[in-house]
Amino acid sequence: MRPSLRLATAAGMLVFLLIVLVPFWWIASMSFKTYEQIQFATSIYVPKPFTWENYTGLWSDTRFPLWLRNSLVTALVVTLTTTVVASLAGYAVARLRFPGREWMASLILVLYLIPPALLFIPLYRVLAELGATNHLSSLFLSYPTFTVPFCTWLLIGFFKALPDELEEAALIDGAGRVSAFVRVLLPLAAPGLVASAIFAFTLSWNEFLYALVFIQDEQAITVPVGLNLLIYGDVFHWGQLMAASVITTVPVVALYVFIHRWMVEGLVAGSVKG
Amino acid sequence: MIVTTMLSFILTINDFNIVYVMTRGGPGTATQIFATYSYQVAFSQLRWGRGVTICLFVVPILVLGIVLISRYLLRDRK
Repeated sequence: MRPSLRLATAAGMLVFLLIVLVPFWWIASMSFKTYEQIQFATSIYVPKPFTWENYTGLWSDTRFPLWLRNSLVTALVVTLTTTVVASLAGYAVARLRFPGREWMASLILVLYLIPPALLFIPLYRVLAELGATNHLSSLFLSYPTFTVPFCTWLLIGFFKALPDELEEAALIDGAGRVSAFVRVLLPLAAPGLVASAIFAFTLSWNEFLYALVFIQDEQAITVPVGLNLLIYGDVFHWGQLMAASVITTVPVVALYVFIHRWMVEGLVAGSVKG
Repeated sequence: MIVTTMLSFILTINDFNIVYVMTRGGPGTATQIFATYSYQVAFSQLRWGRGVTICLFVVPILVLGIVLISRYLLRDRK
């Protein structure tokens, strides 16, 4: 590559990075500012004086800890069910021979592409009939409608990429279908499982529409909806809002950084033979 | 490329979160989109059928997008 071209590439990347990262810097710095600093726009870029009052206020004056707990419980339950269901479904579509298999694989993809915005009213009626609204269980039931198709799709590619011979060897050595699946295939598909678990976690952590529609009780709402509640009419407690954003972003970012390598490996391995 | 374009197209046409949080479709109906309008009709005015009908208007556009994507993604499986 010519030096001038390389310079241009670097400059382009820098601009792109700035565009992506500046909002995060904005959120983080704002969460450490006092109310006056935000209102009068003094010291715009760096919080001065630096303060923790938004965090302590958020923790003691609002129901944020409760929302955080709700979000965490929901995300964990959904991730667990999704991983179990999607790995079984992915295995079945990738390995078992049954009529309508290809057709079912395509259907799963189409289901994933149908957006939640189309489904929330019918789903609300169904959940209301079941008596599940206003409770976290409505989210346990509804989130898998978008996490399961996606993760199944991911895992189908994954199981297809594993050589048939491994499973056949296990079967010859006396293992049943189930134990061959649990002992041989699942450990090999671990990167795919981790990738799909992270997707399920992030999707249910960030979900807003279903959480807003299905739950009105302030005891049972999740963080994204709670953030929305922190806006009282025209009064924006920007500091607390930003502090809450930071607290909700950090676990996800930490998760991604921590399992980053597995993630990439999982995505690539899943996509090649998808 | 087609996949990325269509995916972001589908995601944008059905966006709810940002519009709802920032403007609630207002001022007036200046920033109202499918998702927020159907939400408003169904949940503030309690006209469920009408809310669902509004959603159904996006379906033709969606089907187009979905067909394009799945054709591309399923091409090498056949």
